[in-house]
Amino acid sequence: MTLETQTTTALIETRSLTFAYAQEPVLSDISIRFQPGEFIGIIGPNGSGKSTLLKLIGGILPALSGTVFFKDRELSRYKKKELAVAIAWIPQDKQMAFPFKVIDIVLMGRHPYLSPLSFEGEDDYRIAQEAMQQTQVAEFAERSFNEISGGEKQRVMIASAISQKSEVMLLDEPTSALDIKYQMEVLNILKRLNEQEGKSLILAMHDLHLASKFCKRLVLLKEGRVFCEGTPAEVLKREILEDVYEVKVKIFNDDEDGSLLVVPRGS
Amino acid sequence: MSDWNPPVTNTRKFATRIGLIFLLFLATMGITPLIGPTTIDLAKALSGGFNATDNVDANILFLARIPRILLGALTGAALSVTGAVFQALLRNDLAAPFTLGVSSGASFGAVIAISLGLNFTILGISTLSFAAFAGALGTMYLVFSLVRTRYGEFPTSVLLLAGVTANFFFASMVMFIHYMADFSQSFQIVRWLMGGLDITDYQTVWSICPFVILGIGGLIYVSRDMNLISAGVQSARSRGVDVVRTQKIGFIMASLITGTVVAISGPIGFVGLIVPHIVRLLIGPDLRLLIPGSMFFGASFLVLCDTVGRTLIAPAEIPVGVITAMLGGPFFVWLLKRQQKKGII
Repeated sequence: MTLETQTTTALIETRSLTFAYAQEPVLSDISIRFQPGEFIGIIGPNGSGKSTLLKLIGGILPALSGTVFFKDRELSRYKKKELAVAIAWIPQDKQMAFPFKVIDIVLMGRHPYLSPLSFEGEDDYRIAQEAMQQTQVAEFAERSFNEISGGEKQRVMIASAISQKSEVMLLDEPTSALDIKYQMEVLNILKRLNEQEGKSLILAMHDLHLASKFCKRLVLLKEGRVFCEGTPAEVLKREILEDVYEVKVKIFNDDEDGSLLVVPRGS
Repeated sequence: MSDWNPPVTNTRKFATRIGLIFLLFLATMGITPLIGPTTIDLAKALSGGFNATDNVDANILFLARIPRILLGALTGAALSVTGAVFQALLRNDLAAPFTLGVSSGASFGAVIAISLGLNFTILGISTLSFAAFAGALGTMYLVFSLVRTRYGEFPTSVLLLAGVTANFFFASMVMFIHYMADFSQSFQIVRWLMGGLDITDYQTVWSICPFVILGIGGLIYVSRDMNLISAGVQSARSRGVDVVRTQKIGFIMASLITGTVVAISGPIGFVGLIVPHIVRLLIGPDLRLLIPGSMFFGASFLVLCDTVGRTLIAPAEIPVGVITAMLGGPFFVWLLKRQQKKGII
């Protein structure tokens, strides 16, 4: 029965999404569905369109053609602040032109809840404080954002997104440029958010091992198209990866947590 | 857990600092009318009432100094607030009203009016001012419409380049007209290009006051949205800011107030660059505080510069634009070196 598939509402759905910078096509014909509470990794080679796809899903860039739906309603039909309550996005680049303090950045997540001309109230400070405790950055609250380390910045940005209290969080390569300790810290925070608070997460990821370790479902992009999607075990297969990344690989299985380690072979 | 307890301490700290800047402003406005090449007797000046034509002290105070100080305060406030807003919206602390071509556009309008010999007044405002106003706003419109992308955004580096280009273009046009002008026009042109606050009536002050207040009010209204843009355009969008609308309001209001004051005072450089920096060091980058802070500090700064200008080599006067440029040049170099050290450029 087709009726049944129609009634299951996706949290986010994209229909034949296309995007191009200047004349260069970046994404073509992307149609995917995300359910509430998912922990999804978008993987693929450099330039395959991971970051752009996140920005289109977050309503940060307008699609050239095609549509993004949040709860069956087109993104363009949401008010800007409504959309911010629905979806938060965390950028990859995190240098500020001005010396904002960590607490300033976290409080910026409260913007959709504030009217013009108002300052953040006690509630906003309390929410920001809780968010900073969750990501263990409360002790940096008064430090300048530009002066803390990369891993700390990432946690501050997550705290800012937490204080935004959105249903979905989009993260653009949250672990790139972090050492393994910080990578685990950041991903464990996200795991907790997903498992304990039911937050839906979509991550653009580079590291295939971490993607298989934390994400429940992977979407593999190649040259702006969805090559395949499924569980990590379904997607991270030798023949698929060799085709997409154009390099010979060997895949090892970590018996402890079932995560997959993809290693390039030969020279 | 840290014993961090922000709202009270922060608010109090900021209130204190804004309060100090406001006190500086009040002190400046109270004391500078009494300073000048001629010592005036305040009691005598106030005794005769406003219309006492034979009361020399009153004439100096009410007709020479106070209008000039009020114009200085409005001009300083407008230029500084514009600087703060441009720096935030472009996420670049070298941005200033004049980096984007406003001053050269205004100068171009003014020299055209001078060379055509247009010399009458409407509502107490000279045609020269109208032409400068049109030149300033016209240039801003040109620069912004050239740079605007199809998403309605203004890429910073392109905008700054376009501004600098506009500056050079209009500066050469000004030179050309200057070259063709006769002797008396030439003097008028040079005098205008130096910038100055020497007015002797209140009409001018009252006619620009509403524009400046309206503009700054509009900017304060979108100040939190501009904060978020200053921390990143795309992050701002994901946090619910209408980026295009905010940029529009910001640029239009800032251009309006700058065009208004530049039309009267001429191109007074560097105020819009220096003041926001100093105030940002005092109270941080939050525009909700930075705009009022820059407004009062900028007003005080320009009035003080002008007071130095009219007393230093009295009875002759140094145009205030010369003073701000002499302070601003080295400041700009210092800023540049500092950015280099931080690895921004």
